[in-house]
Amino acid sequence: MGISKATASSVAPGAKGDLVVGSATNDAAILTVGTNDHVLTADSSTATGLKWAAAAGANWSLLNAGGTSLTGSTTITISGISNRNKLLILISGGSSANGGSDVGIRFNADSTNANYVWHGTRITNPSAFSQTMISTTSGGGDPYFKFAVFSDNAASVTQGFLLLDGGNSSGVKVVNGAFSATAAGGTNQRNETIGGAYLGTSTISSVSVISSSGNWDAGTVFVYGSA
Amino acid sequence: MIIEKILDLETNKETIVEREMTAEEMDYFNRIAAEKTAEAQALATKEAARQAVLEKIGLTTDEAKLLLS
Repeated sequence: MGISKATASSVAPGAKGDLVVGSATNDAAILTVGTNDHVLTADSSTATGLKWAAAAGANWSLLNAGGTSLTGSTTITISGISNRNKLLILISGGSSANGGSDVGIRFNADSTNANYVWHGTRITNPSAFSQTMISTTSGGGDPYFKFAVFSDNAASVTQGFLLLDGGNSSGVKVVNGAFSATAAGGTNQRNETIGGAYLGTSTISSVSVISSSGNWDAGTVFVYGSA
Repeated sequence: MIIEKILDLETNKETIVEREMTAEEMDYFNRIAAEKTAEAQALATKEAARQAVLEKIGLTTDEAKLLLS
């Protein structure tokens, strides 16, 4: 036996996204629209037996379909990020028109030096004669996370990753990452592995990939997000 | 002046903007430029000293690289 006409006529969507859901034999109720990116989930404790909830477990998806090419500017920004507590930023084959440029990652267009703090290990190749140097590195006075420095040859290439946790909160966002830069016949490239935190209080809505001098002229940045 | 390319995931539109550096970016740019100048000068001084030593002991640059490899 279906829902009676009298019952169904008193249950009608009142707003965009409302669902008419069975609540009992021959009866229905309205389930109002959920939060963006939430999924319909069974829950026997609710009147409708359903609820809207965040997808269970990590659910990584590529936010910028196909990746974003690193060309034509010093700063490449992916904006419009929302409800992503974890972000994974990958750079593949990145290159700058200028040798010696920094590779940096910034959040929310925030250039406040004090919001980028980190400690880590740096590997430097100072010159053709010197041994590769391993040293510690720390930051807190730069307007972005600086992960690597291209060699003084413009053919130097970088690749690496940064993982951020806490992007959907107003608290501290923990970061970990590692980037390398090739010599490409030059010297003074820096490879860094860091752990640290972004201290900005806004939820993450954008990621910028920065070449400190000279436009990006090759490579791709991929931004993955998870609930 | 900074050229920034922005991909907005909500509209899937890409825009290019030119903007002035923020105070922090300008400060960092000047600081890094000064550091690189100082590093280059230190490197040049070191290189000159290295060449002087090589001449003193009668080695070419390639011979020195071979010994250090």
